[in-house]
Amino acid sequence: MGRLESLSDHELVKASQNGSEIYFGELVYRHTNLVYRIARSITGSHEEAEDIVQETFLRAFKSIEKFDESKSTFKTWLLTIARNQSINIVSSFRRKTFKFFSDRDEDDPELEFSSNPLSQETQDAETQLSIKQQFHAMEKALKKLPERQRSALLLKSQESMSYEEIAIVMDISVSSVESLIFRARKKIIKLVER
Amino acid sequence: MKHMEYQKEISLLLDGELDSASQRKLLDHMSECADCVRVYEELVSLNDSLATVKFSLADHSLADKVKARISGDSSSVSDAWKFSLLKQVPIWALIAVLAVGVGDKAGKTLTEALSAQDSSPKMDTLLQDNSESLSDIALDFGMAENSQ
Repeated sequence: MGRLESLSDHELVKASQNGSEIYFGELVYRHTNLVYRIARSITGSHEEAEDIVQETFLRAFKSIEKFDESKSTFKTWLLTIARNQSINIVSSFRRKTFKFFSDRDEDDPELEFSSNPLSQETQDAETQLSIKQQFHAMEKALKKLPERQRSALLLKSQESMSYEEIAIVMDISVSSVESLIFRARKKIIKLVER
Repeated sequence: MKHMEYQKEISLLLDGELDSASQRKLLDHMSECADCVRVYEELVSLNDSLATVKFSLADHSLADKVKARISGDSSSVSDAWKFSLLKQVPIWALIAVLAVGVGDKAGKTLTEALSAQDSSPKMDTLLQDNSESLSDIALDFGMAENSQ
Protein backbone atom coordinates (compact mmCIF):
# COMPACT_ATOMS: atom_id res chain seq x y z
CA MET A 1 0.00 0.00 0.00
CA GLY A 2 1.37 3.40 -0.97
CA ARG A 3 1.84 6.22 1.47
CA LEU A 4 -1.14 8.19 0.19
CA GLU A 5 -3.42 5.15 0.22
CA SER A 6 -2.66 4.56 3.89
CA LEU A 7 -3.83 8.03 4.86
CA SER A 8 -7.37 8.67 6.06
CA ASP A 9 -9.74 11.10 4.34
CA HIS A 10 -9.27 13.40 7.30
CA GLU A 11 -5.48 13.49 6.81
CA LEU A 12 -5.81 13.96 3.06
CA VAL A 13 -8.28 16.79 3.55
CA LYS A 14 -5.94 18.54 6.01
CA ALA A 15 -3.03 18.26 3.57
CA SER A 16 -5.25 19.46 0.71
CA GLN A 17 -6.29 22.46 2.77
CA ASN A 18 -2.61 23.36 2.94
CA GLY A 19 -2.63 23.51 -0.85
CA SER A 20 -1.44 20.02 -1.78
CA GLU A 21 -2.79 18.89 -5.13
CA ILE A 22 -1.29 15.42 -4.74
CA TYR A 23 -3.26 14.69 -1.59
CA PHE A 24 -6.44 16.01 -3.15
CA GLY A 25 -5.74 13.73 -6.11
CA GLU A 26 -5.93 10.73 -3.81
CA LEU A 27 -9.34 11.93 -2.61
CA VAL A 28 -10.39 12.11 -6.26
CA TYR A 29 -9.34 8.48 -6.82
CA ARG A 30 -11.17 7.36 -3.71
CA HIS A 31 -14.48 9.05 -4.35
CA THR A 32 -14.90 9.24 -8.13
CA ASN A 33 -17.16 6.19 -8.27
CA LEU A 34 -19.27 7.44 -5.38
CA VAL A 35 -19.84 10.83 -7.01
CA TYR A 36 -20.43 9.18 -10.38
CA ARG A 37 -23.12 6.91 -8.92
CA ILE A 38 -25.11 9.71 -7.29
CA ALA A 39 -24.84 11.85 -10.45
CA ARG A 40 -25.79 8.93 -12.64
CA SER A 41 -28.77 8.01 -10.48
CA ILE A 42 -30.11 11.57 -10.66
CA THR A 43 -29.40 12.42 -14.28
CA GLY A 44 -29.75 8.95 -15.81
CA SER A 45 -26.96 9.79 -18.22
CA HIS A 46 -23.38 8.53 -18.31
CA GLU A 47 -22.07 11.64 -20.12
CA GLU A 48 -23.74 14.06 -17.77
CA ALA A 49 -22.61 12.07 -14.76
CA GLU A 50 -19.02 12.32 -16.01
CA ASP A 51 -19.34 16.09 -16.41
CA ILE A 52 -20.83 16.36 -12.93
CA VAL A 53 -17.97 14.32 -11.44
CA GLN A 54 -15.47 16.77 -12.95
CA GLU A 55 -17.34 19.87 -11.87
CA THR A 56 -17.91 18.48 -8.38
CA PHE A 57 -14.23 17.83 -7.76
CA LEU A 58 -13.18 21.17 -9.27
CA ARG A 59 -15.60 22.97 -6.98
CA ALA A 60 -14.49 20.91 -4.02
CA PHE A 61 -10.83 21.67 -4.75
CA LYS A 62 -11.50 25.39 -5.08
CA SER A 63 -13.40 25.55 -1.80
CA ILE A 64 -11.54 22.89 0.21
CA GLU A 65 -10.25 25.62 2.54
CA LYS A 66 -13.83 26.40 3.55
CA PHE A 67 -14.71 22.79 4.29
CA ASP A 68 -15.39 22.33 8.00
CA GLU A 69 -14.98 18.78 9.25
CA SER A 70 -16.85 19.55 12.45
CA LYS A 71 -20.03 19.91 10.38
CA SER A 72 -19.80 16.88 8.07
CA THR A 73 -17.46 14.28 6.65
CA PHE A 74 -15.65 14.93 3.39
CA LYS A 75 -17.76 12.25 1.69
CA THR A 76 -21.02 13.89 2.82
CA TRP A 77 -19.78 17.33 1.77
CA LEU A 78 -18.72 16.02 -1.64
CA LEU A 79 -22.05 14.30 -2.21
CA THR A 80 -23.89 17.48 -1.29
CA ILE A 81 -22.00 19.33 -4.03
CA ALA A 82 -22.58 16.46 -6.49
CA ARG A 83 -26.29 16.29 -5.76
CA ASN A 84 -26.75 20.03 -6.17
CA GLN A 85 -24.85 19.95 -9.46
CA SER A 86 -26.94 17.02 -10.67
CA ILE A 87 -30.21 18.68 -9.75
CA ASN A 88 -29.14 21.84 -11.57
CA ILE A 89 -28.52 19.81 -14.69
CA VAL A 90 -31.77 17.88 -14.40
CA SER A 91 -33.64 21.15 -13.90
CA SER A 92 -32.11 22.74 -16.95
CA PHE A 93 -34.31 23.32 -19.97
CA ARG A 94 -32.16 21.14 -22.19
CA ARG A 95 -32.36 18.23 -19.82
CA LYS A 96 -36.11 18.57 -19.33
CA THR A 97 -36.89 18.70 -23.00
CA PHE A 98 -34.47 16.29 -24.58
CA LYS A 99 -32.90 13.98 -22.09
CA PHE A 100 -35.02 13.26 -19.04
CA PHE A 101 -37.34 10.72 -20.57
CA SER A 102 -34.78 9.05 -22.77
CA ASP A 103 -33.73 5.52 -21.94
CA ARG A 104 -30.26 4.39 -21.09
CA ASP A 105 -28.10 3.05 -23.84
CA GLU A 106 -28.37 -0.72 -23.72
CA ASP A 107 -24.68 -1.08 -24.55
CA ASP A 108 -23.62 1.11 -21.66
CA PRO A 109 -20.31 -0.30 -20.49
CA GLU A 110 -20.58 1.17 -17.03
CA LEU A 111 -22.88 -1.37 -15.44
CA GLU A 112 -21.25 -3.12 -12.61
CA PHE A 113 -21.96 -6.79 -12.97
CA SER A 114 -18.44 -7.69 -12.06
CA SER A 115 -18.79 -6.65 -8.43
CA ASN A 116 -21.75 -8.90 -8.00
CA PRO A 117 -20.62 -12.25 -6.55
CA LEU A 118 -23.33 -13.95 -8.57
CA SER A 119 -21.89 -12.71 -11.81
CA GLN A 120 -18.62 -14.56 -11.97
CA GLU A 121 -17.58 -16.10 -15.25
CA THR A 122 -18.27 -19.54 -13.83
CA GLN A 123 -22.01 -18.90 -14.01
CA ASP A 124 -24.00 -20.47 -16.73
CA ALA A 125 -25.66 -18.38 -19.41
CA GLU A 126 -29.13 -18.86 -17.93
CA THR A 127 -28.12 -17.43 -14.57
CA GLN A 128 -26.37 -14.54 -16.27
CA LEU A 129 -29.50 -13.77 -18.24
CA SER A 130 -31.65 -13.94 -15.13
CA ILE A 131 -29.35 -11.50 -13.31
CA LYS A 132 -29.36 -9.17 -16.28
CA GLN A 133 -33.16 -9.21 -16.39
CA GLN A 134 -33.35 -8.57 -12.67
CA PHE A 135 -30.91 -5.72 -13.11
CA HIS A 136 -32.90 -4.07 -15.87
CA ALA A 137 -36.21 -4.52 -14.04
CA MET A 138 -34.75 -2.90 -10.94
CA GLU A 139 -33.16 -0.10 -12.92
CA LYS A 140 -36.42 0.60 -14.73
CA ALA A 141 -38.30 0.69 -11.44
CA LEU A 142 -35.72 3.02 -9.93
CA LYS A 143 -36.15 5.41 -12.84
CA LYS A 144 -39.85 5.67 -12.09
CA LEU A 145 -39.26 6.87 -8.55
CA PRO A 146 -39.27 10.58 -7.80
CA GLU A 147 -35.70 11.86 -7.62
CA ARG A 148 -35.75 12.46 -3.85
CA GLN A 149 -36.98 8.95 -3.12
CA ARG A 150 -34.47 7.42 -5.51
CA SER A 151 -31.53 9.40 -4.11
CA ALA A 152 -32.38 8.66 -0.48
CA LEU A 153 -32.85 4.96 -1.20
CA LEU A 154 -29.61 4.59 -3.16
CA LEU A 155 -27.56 6.54 -0.66
CA LYS A 156 -28.78 4.09 1.96
CA SER A 157 -28.74 0.80 0.07
CA GLN A 158 -25.64 1.34 -2.07
CA GLU A 159 -23.51 3.76 -0.11
CA SER A 160 -24.53 2.56 3.38
CA MET A 161 -24.91 6.11 4.63
CA SER A 162 -26.73 6.85 7.88
CA TYR A 163 -30.04 8.72 7.81
CA GLU A 164 -28.27 11.67 9.40
CA GLU A 165 -25.67 11.79 6.60
CA ILE A 166 -28.38 11.46 3.94
CA ALA A 167 -30.27 14.30 5.61
CA ILE A 168 -27.17 16.51 5.29
CA VAL A 169 -26.58 15.59 1.65
CA MET A 170 -30.22 16.21 0.72
CA ASP A 171 -30.70 19.17 3.04
CA ILE A 172 -33.80 17.69 4.67
CA SER A 173 -34.72 16.38 8.13
CA VAL A 174 -33.94 12.86 9.34
CA SER A 175 -37.66 12.10 9.59
CA SER A 176 -38.07 13.11 5.94
CA VAL A 177 -35.28 10.67 5.04
CA GLU A 178 -37.15 7.90 6.92
CA SER A 179 -40.34 8.63 4.98
CA LEU A 180 -38.62 8.94 1.61
CA ILE A 181 -36.82 5.63 1.98
CA PHE A 182 -39.91 3.80 3.22
CA ARG A 183 -42.11 5.18 0.42
CA ALA A 184 -39.41 4.39 -2.15
CA ARG A 185 -39.23 0.78 -0.97
CA LYS A 186 -43.00 0.32 -1.02
CA LYS A 187 -43.26 1.81 -4.49
CA ILE A 188 -40.38 -0.12 -5.99
CA ILE A 189 -41.76 -3.42 -4.68
CA LYS A 190 -45.06 -2.67 -6.38
CA LEU A 191 -43.30 -1.69 -9.62
CA VAL A 192 -41.16 -4.82 -9.72
CA GLU A 193 -44.19 -7.04 -8.96
CA ARG A 194 -46.05 -5.77 -12.04
CA MET B 1 -49.69 0.88 16.58
CA LYS B 2 -51.02 0.68 13.05
CA HIS B 3 -49.82 -1.96 10.65
CA MET B 4 -48.24 0.60 8.31
CA GLU B 5 -46.24 2.06 11.17
CA TYR B 6 -44.79 -1.38 11.92
CA GLN B 7 -43.81 -1.68 8.28
CA LYS B 8 -42.06 1.65 8.45
CA GLU B 9 -40.20 0.37 11.48
CA ILE B 10 -39.17 -2.72 9.52
CA SER B 11 -37.54 -0.37 7.02
CA LEU B 12 -35.75 1.39 9.89
CA LEU B 13 -34.69 -1.95 11.39
CA LEU B 14 -33.08 -3.03 8.12
CA ASP B 15 -31.18 0.25 7.99
CA GLY B 16 -29.98 -0.06 11.58
CA GLU B 17 -31.87 3.09 12.53
CA LEU B 18 -34.33 1.62 15.07
CA ASP B 19 -33.71 2.02 18.79
CA SER B 20 -33.55 -1.12 20.93
CA ALA B 21 -36.91 -0.59 22.69
CA SER B 22 -38.73 -0.22 19.38
CA GLN B 23 -36.82 -3.19 17.98
CA ARG B 24 -38.11 -5.42 20.78
CA LYS B 25 -41.65 -4.20 20.27
CA LEU B 26 -41.45 -4.79 16.53
CA LEU B 27 -40.01 -8.28 16.87
CA ASP B 28 -42.81 -9.16 19.31
CA HIS B 29 -45.34 -7.97 16.76
CA MET B 30 -43.66 -9.86 13.92
CA SER B 31 -43.80 -13.09 15.87
CA GLU B 32 -47.59 -12.89 15.52
CA CYS B 33 -47.99 -11.09 12.19
CA ALA B 34 -47.41 -13.01 8.96
CA ASP B 35 -47.98 -9.87 6.85
CA CYS B 36 -45.14 -8.01 8.54
CA VAL B 37 -42.84 -11.04 8.19
CA ARG B 38 -43.64 -11.04 4.46
CA VAL B 39 -42.88 -7.31 4.22
CA TYR B 40 -39.61 -7.89 6.07
CA GLU B 41 -38.63 -10.62 3.59
CA GLU B 42 -39.58 -8.44 0.62
CA LEU B 43 -37.48 -5.58 1.91
CA VAL B 44 -34.47 -7.84 2.53
CA SER B 45 -34.79 -9.18 -1.01
CA LEU B 46 -35.13 -5.64 -2.38
CA ASN B 47 -31.97 -4.57 -0.58
CA ASP B 48 -30.08 -7.46 -2.16
CA SER B 49 -31.39 -6.54 -5.60
CA LEU B 50 -30.53 -2.87 -5.18
CA ALA B 51 -26.96 -3.86 -4.46
CA THR B 52 -26.77 -5.33 -7.97
CA VAL B 53 -27.98 -2.14 -9.64
CA LYS B 54 -24.77 -0.37 -8.88
CA PHE B 55 -23.09 1.75 -11.50
CA SER B 56 -19.36 1.75 -11.41
CA LEU B 57 -16.59 3.05 -13.61
CA ALA B 58 -14.40 0.44 -15.20
CA ASP B 59 -11.11 2.25 -14.63
CA HIS B 60 -9.46 5.41 -13.30
CA SER B 61 -9.66 7.34 -16.56
CA LEU B 62 -12.31 9.73 -15.26
CA ALA B 63 -10.35 10.29 -12.04
CA ASP B 64 -7.24 10.98 -14.15
CA LYS B 65 -9.22 13.48 -16.23
CA VAL B 66 -10.40 15.21 -13.06
CA LYS B 67 -6.84 15.37 -11.72
CA ALA B 68 -5.58 16.80 -15.00
CA ARG B 69 -8.26 19.49 -14.90
CA ILE B 70 -7.39 20.35 -11.31
CA SER B 71 -3.69 20.63 -12.24
CA GLY B 72 -4.65 22.73 -15.25
CA ASP B 73 -6.78 25.00 -13.15
CA SER B 74 -4.21 25.49 -10.44
CA SER B 75 -1.45 26.07 -13.03
CA SER B 76 -3.70 28.54 -14.77
CA VAL B 77 -4.11 30.20 -11.37
CA SER B 78 -0.33 30.43 -11.00
CA ASP B 79 -0.04 31.54 -14.64
CA ALA B 80 -2.52 34.27 -13.87
CA TRP B 81 -0.42 35.25 -10.91
CA LYS B 82 2.72 35.32 -13.06
CA PHE B 83 0.87 37.34 -15.69
CA SER B 84 -0.29 39.83 -13.11
CA LEU B 85 3.31 40.12 -11.95
CA LEU B 86 4.41 40.72 -15.51
CA LYS B 87 1.73 43.33 -15.85
CA GLN B 88 3.21 45.07 -12.85
CA VAL B 89 6.70 45.23 -14.38
CA PRO B 90 5.86 48.00 -16.87
CA ILE B 91 4.34 49.99 -14.00
CA TRP B 92 7.64 49.85 -12.13
CA ALA B 93 9.50 50.50 -15.34
CA LEU B 94 7.25 53.48 -16.01
CA ILE B 95 7.89 54.82 -12.55
CA ALA B 96 11.66 54.44 -13.13
CA VAL B 97 11.46 56.14 -16.53
CA LEU B 98 9.39 58.93 -15.04
CA ALA B 99 11.91 59.38 -12.24
CA VAL B 100 14.77 59.60 -14.73
CA GLY B 101 12.73 61.82 -17.01
CA VAL B 102 11.76 64.20 -14.24
CA GLY B 103 15.41 64.37 -13.20
CA ASP B 104 16.40 65.24 -16.77
CA LYS B 105 13.86 68.04 -16.87
CA ALA B 106 15.01 69.51 -13.57
CA GLY B 107 15.45 73.25 -13.64
CA LYS B 108 13.20 73.70 -16.64
CA THR B 109 9.81 75.34 -16.73
CA LEU B 110 6.72 73.24 -17.28
CA THR B 111 6.43 74.54 -20.85
CA GLU B 112 10.03 73.66 -21.53
CA ALA B 113 9.67 70.28 -19.92
CA LEU B 114 6.59 69.46 -21.94
CA SER B 115 7.89 71.00 -25.16
CA ALA B 116 9.49 68.61 -27.59
CA GLN B 117 12.11 71.22 -28.47
CA ASP B 118 15.09 71.69 -26.30
CA SER B 119 15.80 75.28 -25.19
CA SER B 120 19.54 75.09 -25.76
CA PRO B 121 19.41 75.68 -29.54
CA LYS B 122 17.56 78.94 -28.83
CA MET B 123 20.43 80.05 -26.64
CA ASP B 124 22.79 79.19 -29.49
CA THR B 125 20.96 81.58 -31.78
CA LEU B 126 20.98 84.30 -29.15
CA LEU B 127 24.62 83.85 -28.27
CA GLN B 128 26.56 82.87 -31.30
CA ASP B 129 29.40 80.72 -30.34
CA ASN B 130 32.61 82.24 -31.62
CA SER B 131 34.58 80.35 -29.11
CA GLU B 132 34.26 83.29 -26.80
CA SER B 133 33.17 83.18 -23.24
CA LEU B 134 30.50 85.41 -21.80
CA SER B 135 33.15 87.49 -20.03
CA ASP B 136 34.98 88.06 -23.39
CA ILE B 137 31.76 89.33 -24.93
CA ALA B 138 31.09 91.62 -21.95
CA LEU B 139 34.68 92.90 -22.15
CA ASP B 140 34.31 93.58 -25.88
CA PHE B 141 31.01 95.38 -25.21
CA GLY B 142 32.68 97.56 -22.47
CA MET B 143 35.63 98.47 -24.68
CA ALA B 144 33.32 99.56 -27.51
CA GLU B 145 31.42 101.85 -25.13
CA ASN B 146 34.63 103.43 -23.86
CA SER B 147 35.88 104.07 -27.35
CA GLN B 148 32.74 106.08 -28.18
